[in-house]
Amino acid sequence: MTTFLQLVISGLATGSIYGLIALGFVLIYKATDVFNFAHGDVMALGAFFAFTAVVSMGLPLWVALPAVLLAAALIGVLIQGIIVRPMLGQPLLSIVMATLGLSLIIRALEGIVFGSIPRTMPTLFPNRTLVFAGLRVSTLDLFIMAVSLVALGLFALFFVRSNLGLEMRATAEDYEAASLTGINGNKIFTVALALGSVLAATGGMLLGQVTLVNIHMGDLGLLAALPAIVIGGMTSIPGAVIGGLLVGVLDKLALGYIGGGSQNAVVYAALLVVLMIRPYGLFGERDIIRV
Amino acid sequence: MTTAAAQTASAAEGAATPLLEVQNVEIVYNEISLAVRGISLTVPRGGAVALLGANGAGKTTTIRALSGLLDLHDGRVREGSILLDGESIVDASPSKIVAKGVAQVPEGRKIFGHLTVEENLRAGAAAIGYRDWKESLAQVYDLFPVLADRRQATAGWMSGGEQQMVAVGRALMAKPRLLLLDEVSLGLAPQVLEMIIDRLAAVREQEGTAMLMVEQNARIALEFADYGYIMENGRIVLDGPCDRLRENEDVQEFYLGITEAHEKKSYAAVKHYKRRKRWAA
Amino acid sequence: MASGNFKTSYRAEHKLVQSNVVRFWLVVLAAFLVYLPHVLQNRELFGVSLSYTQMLGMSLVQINFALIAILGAVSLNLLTGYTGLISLGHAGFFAVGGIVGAYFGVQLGWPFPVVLLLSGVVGAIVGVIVGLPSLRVRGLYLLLATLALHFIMVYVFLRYQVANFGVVGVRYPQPSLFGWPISSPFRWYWVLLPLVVLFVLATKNLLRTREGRAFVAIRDHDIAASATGINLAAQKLKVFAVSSFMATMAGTLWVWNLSAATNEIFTLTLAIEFIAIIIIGGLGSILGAILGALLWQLLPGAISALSDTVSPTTPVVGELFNQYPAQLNQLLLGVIIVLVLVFKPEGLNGFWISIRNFFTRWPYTT
Repeated sequence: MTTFLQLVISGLATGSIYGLIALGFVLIYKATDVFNFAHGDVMALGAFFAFTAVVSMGLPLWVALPAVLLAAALIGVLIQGIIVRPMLGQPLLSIVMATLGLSLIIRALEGIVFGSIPRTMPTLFPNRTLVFAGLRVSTLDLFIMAVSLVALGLFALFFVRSNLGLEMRATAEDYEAASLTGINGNKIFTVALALGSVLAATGGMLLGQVTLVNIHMGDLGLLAALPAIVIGGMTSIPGAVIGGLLVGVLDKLALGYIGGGSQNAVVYAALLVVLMIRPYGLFGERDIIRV
Repeated sequence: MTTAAAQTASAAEGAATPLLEVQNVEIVYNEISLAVRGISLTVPRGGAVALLGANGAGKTTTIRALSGLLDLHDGRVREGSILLDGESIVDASPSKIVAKGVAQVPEGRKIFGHLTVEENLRAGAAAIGYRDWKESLAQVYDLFPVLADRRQATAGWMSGGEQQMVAVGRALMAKPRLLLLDEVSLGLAPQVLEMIIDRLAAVREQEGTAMLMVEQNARIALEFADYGYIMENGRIVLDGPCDRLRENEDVQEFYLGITEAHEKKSYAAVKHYKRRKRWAA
Repeated sequence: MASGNFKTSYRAEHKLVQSNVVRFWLVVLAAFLVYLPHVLQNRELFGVSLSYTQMLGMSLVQINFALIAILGAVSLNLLTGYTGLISLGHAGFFAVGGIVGAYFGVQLGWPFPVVLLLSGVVGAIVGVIVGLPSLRVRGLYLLLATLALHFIMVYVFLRYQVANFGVVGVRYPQPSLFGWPISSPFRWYWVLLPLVVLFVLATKNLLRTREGRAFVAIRDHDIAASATGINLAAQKLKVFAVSSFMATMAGTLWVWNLSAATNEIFTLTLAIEFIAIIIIGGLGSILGAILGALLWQLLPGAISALSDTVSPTTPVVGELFNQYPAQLNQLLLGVIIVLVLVFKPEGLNGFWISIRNFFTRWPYTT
């Protein structure tokens, strides 16, 4: 039983990172209808930027952190300008493929600029191990979970209450109708991509604390975020985070009970089951199509 | 007889500059298909103008041009000018145009299905920076009490008539000087349509909002508006004050469905008919 | 300049080769295909000797892989381009092909042609299973469902491999065709070329049948299609079956050409690249799938050939070509994808059609 709980707890920690990444993804999707396959690579960029800022450039934390987030926001703006905006109105598959192409580009550039040797990030946040009732929990894990929760709360509030959030949701529904209503679609897209990328980069920085920073991080980010989004529901913000937690837990459980190599299959099998039973995810909304 | 002269002659106001002036506009899609081949129309301040025509005549294209949405559909204004209060809006972005006071109630409603009624209406105020939105919201609820009752309902599940009210209300939230109505009558039960037209007339009276109504339902449009234009194949083939249009034999036959049954078709009658039909090239 | 294509009998419309001009170019193409292996193996063209760089690094082995890629791309195009069912499962089907080949070909030692046919059949059955989600979800959700199935299929390969062949992977022996050993790339070429031509023609023909039209109808508006009497479930599963038949067969051919396989070669990147090439080539066009597959397989060779001409001392470009060829390859592929999608969404096929139209319509512009 303790093994189970231990796995669950360590799963919740990585799961909250996946949730954060999934959150950024859902934000972009909800506002722009774009399924950004390069999202995982933006996450990796966050880790790489953090490494560069802290280790290579030796910047203090209070400078490095905002710098990394700013850089991530700029990447988001670039993505919007180069891919999303020109491809407005194109079929879904084309946009997905464009982001996949972007993913290849980012990975290639990462390989060239940062090299393929994995790096270790110095631990920036407090990391002590606490023991509760025979279970070991690290403060780093708790910190990560706390950050995710706060981010979730802020964004949910922003999305549902604020005017900008309303405009984003409207634009996601129907770009033309939103433009007609006077919403500046371009502005919305830019904000969505910038914010989504910031979230991804944050997830990347946190992930860099628990794993090696290398060019395959992009895979990890996307692979983990995707089922999180689908299981949670692509249109639901809390769903994305809860989905992330579920995936993190499933991942660790599969590793623990079945063995290496099975994690992806197990997590994706779960995704499949959810897709067949509740295609819109556990928390998502149904598509309203009038034939 | 120029349109401007005819309108100022028939309108009792004698306003100097019309609110909207479309002059010799040609609109092309994909640089290949010419959808609008040189039309001119004006909407006087506080006036109501009807734009009639069958499917494919170019009415929706014209409305798109007025709202700045041509770019989204790979179209552009190739010739001519569109002036709002003397200012050209041909190259303005859609949100700018709404900010300047031209709001559209689009064909097919195009409301935000997953948002609530109230959120839909609130979104309408985006263009004017949400200025006095609570007031405007209250006014819309006054106009359409049904919406007030269902303000938290998800818009996508509502009936066609209710959605139309949401679309109209959303446009009104932008405090427009000119309201563009694209096929408001589509898919509406006659009684609901009458009610909406009624409210629109009330808005026009109270706020002095000008209205341009694009319609296939000629009867309703000609009753509502003061002045009408008839489009066919991208051209304006007839225009005039609505009461005169209603009397026009051709309009009656082609758009109002009022025909005379001839006992015997003489050769002269058939030839005259063919000549009448050749309105536009 | 022809003003249209007017047929006066059903016979004329059905004809595979529509006109004498087409017939001529087909003969030229056939001659080219026959002469090609000679050019590649001996590095000479009509007696003129060619350097590695001049040949853009092409080799017969590459062409063989390109042929297999064509088979895979055409099958995916049938599924995604013509029927609109987006699928990331193709690498998974390759894995299934690997398993069938390993079990029947290596463990049971059955003859190669039988194994090949069997892989197609098994692939079709698996394809129907993989196709089941398409009855429930569509679009993006279907993409994700097929992604899930990709991981499951690859995992099955892993378990099979570990249980029967160990961590080192499956080794495939040299195949033979009714006693004729396929011992060189040259021989492989002459096995692959007719096979691929056969399947491409079969696909083209399938699209001219009732089923083919049903597929396109489903892509355009499936609800309307079902209203006209098309049995959505049956047709969707049918197209999955046909597409997977070809894809699995391609997978078997692939692992045999590689001589060895582990579960790690069936990557997600492979699945993504398949979709990429049919989009670059042009969705919904067989020629597009062929062009995309060719580009994909021949690009690395072209890059390495070009890198020989670029000296390492040239700033930036020199470093890129010489130290990071793999990244450069990836970068170029990514850039091409984005450029094609942003500027010419109809892909290479779109380019071809534009060029063709320019000549057909000259001196008119539109």
